[in-house]
Amino acid sequence: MSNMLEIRGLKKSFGGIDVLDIPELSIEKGGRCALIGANGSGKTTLLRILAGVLAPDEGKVRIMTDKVSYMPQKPYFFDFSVEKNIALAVRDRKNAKARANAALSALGLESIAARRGSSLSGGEAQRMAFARVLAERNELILLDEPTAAADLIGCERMEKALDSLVAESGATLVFATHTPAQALKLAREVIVLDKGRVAERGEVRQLLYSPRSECAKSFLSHWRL
Amino acid sequence: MKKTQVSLVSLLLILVLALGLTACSAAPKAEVEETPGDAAVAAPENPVIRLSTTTSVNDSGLLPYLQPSFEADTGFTLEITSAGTGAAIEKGRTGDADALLVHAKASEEEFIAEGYAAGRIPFMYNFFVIVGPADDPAGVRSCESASEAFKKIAESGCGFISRGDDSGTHKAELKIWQAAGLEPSGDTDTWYISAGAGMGACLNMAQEQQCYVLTDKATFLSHEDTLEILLEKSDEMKNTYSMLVISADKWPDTNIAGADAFVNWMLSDKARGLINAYGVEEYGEQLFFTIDE
Amino acid sequence: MQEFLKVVAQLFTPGGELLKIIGVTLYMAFLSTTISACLGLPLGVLIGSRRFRGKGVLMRVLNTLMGLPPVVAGLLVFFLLSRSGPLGSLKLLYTVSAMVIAQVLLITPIVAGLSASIVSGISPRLRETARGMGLSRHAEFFCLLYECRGQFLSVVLTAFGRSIAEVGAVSIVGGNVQYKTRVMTTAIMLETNKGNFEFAVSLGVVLLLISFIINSAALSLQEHERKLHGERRSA
Repeated sequence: MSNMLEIRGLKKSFGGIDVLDIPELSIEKGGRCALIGANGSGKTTLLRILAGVLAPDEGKVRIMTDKVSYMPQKPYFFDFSVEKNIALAVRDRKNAKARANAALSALGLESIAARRGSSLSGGEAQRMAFARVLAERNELILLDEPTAAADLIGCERMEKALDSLVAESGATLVFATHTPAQALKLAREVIVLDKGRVAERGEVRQLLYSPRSECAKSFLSHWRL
Repeated sequence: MKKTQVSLVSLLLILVLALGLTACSAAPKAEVEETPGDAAVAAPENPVIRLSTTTSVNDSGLLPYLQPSFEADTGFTLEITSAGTGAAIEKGRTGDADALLVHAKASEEEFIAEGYAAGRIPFMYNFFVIVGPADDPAGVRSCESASEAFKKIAESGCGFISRGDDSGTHKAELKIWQAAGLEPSGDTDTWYISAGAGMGACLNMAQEQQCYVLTDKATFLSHEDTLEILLEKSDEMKNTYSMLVISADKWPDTNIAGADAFVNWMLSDKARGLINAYGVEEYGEQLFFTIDE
Repeated sequence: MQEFLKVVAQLFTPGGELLKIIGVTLYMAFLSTTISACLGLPLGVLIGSRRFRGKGVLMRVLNTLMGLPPVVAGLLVFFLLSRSGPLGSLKLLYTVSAMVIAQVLLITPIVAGLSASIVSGISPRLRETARGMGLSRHAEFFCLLYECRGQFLSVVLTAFGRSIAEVGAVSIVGGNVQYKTRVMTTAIMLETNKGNFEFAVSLGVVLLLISFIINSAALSLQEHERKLHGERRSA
């Protein structure tokens, strides 16, 4: 199986503090990878570097595609209609509008299509950003805590839609999450980050139920199955 | 890091403020120390005389020249403000001056008629002169009177800068146009530039555009330019300066003692001598002439 | 009150001097504002949206220029355009063009500085999302401009306000020549110097009214747009 992305000797620091230190990391095509770890462990920074929004201080990051979707924690929406906001991201200009609307209905959000992007609340914006990802249909999907602001129903809908999208398109999925349950649902493997380093990596069930590293153990001890 | 930066900046600001305040409070003290012989004269009750005068007088430099002697001799201090003739006289109406030093007879008489001053005291005069480019395209040099010169300027279409601000100089200029039988206006005559500005500014304009302007000699001589005097000492161009003391009936707060002291000193032999001597050394000729009774 | 009525009467005299003065004022203000906006907005956006070495210094220089005293700007332009100056042969002194030049010198840094701040505030998050969406640099730039359009309008209005209220620089380079370079502010100065205080105040009221009308027109455009599409939430 070929890789979708390869990282070598990655280092990043902010203001003298080391935020990321990953000597080697590869994710294969079609992989489904959940990033978990405490706040400040480097999940967001890693995703931003993979998305090309942030440059590493050292090291090489190779991504085998240019069709990348990235959903930040606090997505930004432009001051025109939501439909247009989403359609703008779709590469296929001819079907952009149709795809945008399809994505919105998949999440049950058709009613907000005409609303101004800048008038969305935090939760609405997140679901919109998710619809954007669905509409884009890219080969690599990077999500930073995609359901953090969603309610139960919204969360379920999003997870369902994501699952079918990835299954259908064979896209590679890397997402950061605070809920190990979500990792169980959507991921095949888990990477545990601790202070910018990969503490452990393994198959989802194995890692979540019987973590080996100290940090994974203590992190997951707060989680009840 | 940020906290120290903030406190450094605030410290700097406080220092600057403190310096500013001490400078302000120090200034008047410094003035008093500079005037010699102060101890010899008893300090008057209200030592400050507010004198309102015109920009032409101020621009000529005569008052700053006389001020030290006056203050040393009388123990009063002069607070001189200058503005256009209209505004200078208006200050008397609004009670913002104790005495006026202006040169606009008609306006002065109106002022007196309204009861703001008991009378006017003409005490010195000088002459307006017509100045212009050295090559004199309108041929003003050959004229015998101001009105003749103005006619020539109008005919030639060479530029003429008018004060345009109802000042004494402006009124004198209008009289000359009247004598010449002309009534130029900025919108119909492109050569007539009504500036609405002070004498200094008008001279700047005349210098820039190389055109003609009516000015008082004193201001012209102390102004840096390449213009030349083309006509002077015509009767139409005599400019009389008067002093007026604001009436206490209208403004009881008026510093009558100070204003009277100023007037008396200006009429004294010493002052006359100083006025007549002003500018002789520097410009080689008298700029102001005292009226001798 | 009498003086104010005199002014109002003059307003309605066709071909009258006051109307000419207002005309020159508006012509100068619109020209100055337009040129400053065309120069300052792109400059501000460029500076605000990029990170480069020396950005901090440049921002500091801009902020200093924003506080340039109008008389100083006037003096500088005077020396440039004077007979004895480098551009004297253009014979621009004491014309409306000179006044516009001086005002553009004053106002462009203000426009650039303000728009740079606006863009800096919004740019990082916008860039992150735009990259994530795979937008081209081009598209990202235009989205940025579109997002800030309301604030840019305020900046332009600020520029207009500065232009119409300016008196020092336009006096020096314009000369307050009747029918030619006299604007509302220099006319007020003149009337004040003449001692016609009431008349001067009345002119001032007229000037404020003009400013008020223009500002209202521009801001009601914003209101209208807001009503059409719903309130903006500051996310």
